[in-house]
Amino acid sequence: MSTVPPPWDPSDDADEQYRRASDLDASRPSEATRRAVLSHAETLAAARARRNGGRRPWMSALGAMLRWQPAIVGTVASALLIAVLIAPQFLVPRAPESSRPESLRDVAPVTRPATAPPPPPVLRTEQQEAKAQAPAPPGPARPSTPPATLQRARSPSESYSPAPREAALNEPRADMNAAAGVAAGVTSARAVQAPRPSASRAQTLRRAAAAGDLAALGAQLAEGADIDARDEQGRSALMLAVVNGRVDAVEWLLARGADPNAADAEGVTPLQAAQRNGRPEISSALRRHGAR
Amino acid sequence: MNDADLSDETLMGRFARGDAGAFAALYRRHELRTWRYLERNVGDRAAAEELMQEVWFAVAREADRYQPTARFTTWLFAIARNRMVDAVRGRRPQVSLDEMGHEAAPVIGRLTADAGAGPLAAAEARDRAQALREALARLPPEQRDALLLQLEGDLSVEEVAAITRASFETVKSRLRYARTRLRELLSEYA
Repeated sequence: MSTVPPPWDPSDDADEQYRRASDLDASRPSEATRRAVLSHAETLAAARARRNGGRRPWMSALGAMLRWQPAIVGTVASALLIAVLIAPQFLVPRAPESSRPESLRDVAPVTRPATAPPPPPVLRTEQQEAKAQAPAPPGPARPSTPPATLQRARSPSESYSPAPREAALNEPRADMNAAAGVAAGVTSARAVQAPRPSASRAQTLRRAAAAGDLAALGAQLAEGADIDARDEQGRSALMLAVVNGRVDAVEWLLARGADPNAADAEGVTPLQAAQRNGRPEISSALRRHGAR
Repeated sequence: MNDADLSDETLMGRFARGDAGAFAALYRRHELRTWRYLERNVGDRAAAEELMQEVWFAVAREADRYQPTARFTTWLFAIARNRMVDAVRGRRPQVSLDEMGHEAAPVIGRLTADAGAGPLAAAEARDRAQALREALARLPPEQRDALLLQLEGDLSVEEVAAITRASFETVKSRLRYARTRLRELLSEYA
């Protein structure tokens, strides 16, 4: 067997010439490189094998369950919350007003604990609210239609962004009226009989501040709302009045002892917020009351 | 079934599930082609060794995410080229493709011919391999890169175009010029 390479043929195609010469090139990566690569791969493979190979079906099921655990817990918690808040409304039979003993009239339903949080606003429309608040008629029949002003579902959110003025003004007023026991000229038995939690009052206060509704602010404060209560972003009623440019509400709140330095969760003070919004009149009002 | 009979994609899938032998088979199958692509492009053994490790480390690391939507070799040579370009762009300026274009120094001493072929055959083989290296070194970098991707990576013009982010016509032109020039240079040797 001849080990001498075949003669070079210049007429060969370039690829063929390349292949022939390439086959004669004994250059290879070093053994150290080869070992390093294969060793690295073995390490990774062992880790993957441990991760994948050791699993039994029940372990996979358990793993899947653990992965879904937050969703399961969340769903169960939501269901329980809904059950606690909603179910009593339907499960406890309500006797007609006329058939109830005199001593029990004008008493809140016993199934709703006094300390329980109010139902989430989104779960209860104004229509339902109005039904609940409508005065007990002399007979079992109830008004079939609620007041027209209470048709819209209540929005739970408070926003920095200036909403349309009308909506911003209507929303807190509806709440205020309900809270004060005056909804479209009717007395809300529920509002009177079962005082709303302070959190709800504070929320309504903040909405009123954001809308610049001084009457509603007064009503809430009279009902005992905490003037400096914060929302989930750490914003006080004063802060919401500032960011929404409600000069009157700012003055009104400051005059009634609102903390002028109540910073939000991000550490922004009302004065900083006013400066950011370019409202010098609000800034000076804040400074007059000791804002820094 | 022996590992040697399995496709590259199947071997990658096995490795991703923890089969180190599948990776070893894959490495043996493509080691030389990857090496030649890198070494003939960078013209420096030490730099090629380092790149070789980087490329195959990346292959091993990325096996989990490898999706056999394209051929394994296309993916492999895309990694190889990207690593090489990274090296050229700054991490190792001494292996610049431009610098080693036409005037790259011959790489001597790393061609170890078949010891059993006798001194004459060994010298002949060394000379021819060296001629090829020198011819490749004298090609413009883009032409050499495209040619090596096609000849060592066994890639189509479309695949080379995709990897090098050049148009199909540009790659076709580079390949045509590269082959013409290579033929001329190797003819000179002959």
